[in-house]
Amino acid sequence: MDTQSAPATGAANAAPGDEQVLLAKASLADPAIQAHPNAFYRAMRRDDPVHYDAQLNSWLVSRHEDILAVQSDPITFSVNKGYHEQQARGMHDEFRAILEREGGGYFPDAIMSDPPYHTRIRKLMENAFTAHRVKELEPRIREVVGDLLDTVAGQGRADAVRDIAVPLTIRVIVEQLGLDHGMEEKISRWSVAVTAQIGRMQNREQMIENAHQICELQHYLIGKMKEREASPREDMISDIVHARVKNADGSEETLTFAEAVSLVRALLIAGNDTTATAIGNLFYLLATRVEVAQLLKDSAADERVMNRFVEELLRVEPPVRALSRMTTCEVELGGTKLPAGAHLLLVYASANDQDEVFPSPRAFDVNRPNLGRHVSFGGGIHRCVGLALARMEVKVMAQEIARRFMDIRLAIPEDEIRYVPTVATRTIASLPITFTRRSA
Amino acid sequence: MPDGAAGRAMAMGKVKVTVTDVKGETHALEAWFEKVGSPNDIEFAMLDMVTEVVRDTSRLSCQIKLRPELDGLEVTVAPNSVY
Repeated sequence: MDTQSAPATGAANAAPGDEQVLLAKASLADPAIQAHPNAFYRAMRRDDPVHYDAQLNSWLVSRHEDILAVQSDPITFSVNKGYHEQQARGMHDEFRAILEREGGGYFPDAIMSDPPYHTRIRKLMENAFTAHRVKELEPRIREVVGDLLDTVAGQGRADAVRDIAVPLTIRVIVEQLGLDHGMEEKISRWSVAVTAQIGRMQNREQMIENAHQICELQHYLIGKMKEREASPREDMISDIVHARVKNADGSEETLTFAEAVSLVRALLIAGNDTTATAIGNLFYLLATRVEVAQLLKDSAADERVMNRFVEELLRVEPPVRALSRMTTCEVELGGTKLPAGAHLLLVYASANDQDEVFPSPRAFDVNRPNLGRHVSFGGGIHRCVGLALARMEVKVMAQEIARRFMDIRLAIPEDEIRYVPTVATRTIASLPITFTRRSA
Repeated sequence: MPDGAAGRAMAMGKVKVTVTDVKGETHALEAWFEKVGSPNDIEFAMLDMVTEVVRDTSRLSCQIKLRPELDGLEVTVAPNSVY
């Protein structure tokens, strides 16, 4: 997962006085900034809230209020154009050609679209995310999580990302979607290949390799979907393949097969990578902040506190750093005039760290009255469709970790922690820890 | 009247959180709230994320089904700009 891990360097840890310089010289394309971005975010929010990052050729939207403004106007700020522009940026034609030739087709992400098309897709996709589905999945997820944690808990040391977060999340997604166990390593590779398309860090050689991985993924998913088409089961692939919604006039909407492929692919990747990142971040906080470890230990059985714990974890360490939009006309945003066709990155992680919105933003405080204002799930019509499932998964994992692990410590110095180089997420690549097993 | 149009479960993700608060004098308020009903666990968890705008009689508007007996109900909608 971390074949191109970035070292943390001093450039990103600038003192406030250096922030102006930082803004002029730095780019979110720099792996050192990606790893430790908060000073860069702060400088943007203060001096240039909608900041043009020349290296990325994107405008970084850094303030909470401006992100909300963008999210509330999905016509001016297009996800369809923004996402597909970001995908394999600069190499898109070649990427598309490989998928068409070898991957069963190029399936644009149907959910990464604009109204009115998006409205239809979103309704059909919500079939897979009903309260019923989330509730039904919880006991099975708890079992899967407990089984894996039991195999690690007695060992005293582990890589919290590679040995726990990644395999744990993959097992859960396999369960949800109804895929085959024993595919963990492949699913992990496929996941990296898809997310790399919006990470802006791959060269042509890597793009070609990743495209081939995505071809393999698509063939696998198409096979599974055809099986479910013939005989549905209680899983999310069946939900998507057989999704139907009734219109007011009594007519029925369904997904085309190409749309369904793109949605199943999106479910696999979005539910996998981001959740694994959240669990890696949880272990990081447990290992480095005693108050967070104590709170989890004391409150694991308290559903209300745990709901708030998960929310604050997602605010403090949002798995998704930034996602794309593109302007469809000239527009002013946060005092900056943007031309039509401007590519934007909504830097959620920056908005979550804004002290006018979240006082003492680095404090882990489950009693914040505006806990739910974080933008880790985005917002507006594109707000994460899987958020209830994500919250439940992270909560279950945190509870099961609390039942088995104590005295979690970093096994390496904190400044040696490496992050996956990407603008899209902030993901710890590897996190060696030590711990003791909590007696039952 | 509350905006019941988004009435799908899990609708918090749909547009924005619209917290409505049953309005009236204390006795009238209690009577109305009884008719409207209390939030279930899932809805409570969502409301609990926005305690700055939530009151004892708050509900997510998308979870209130309009019925004849709610005729005359008045609600206060939480400020739009917050979420």
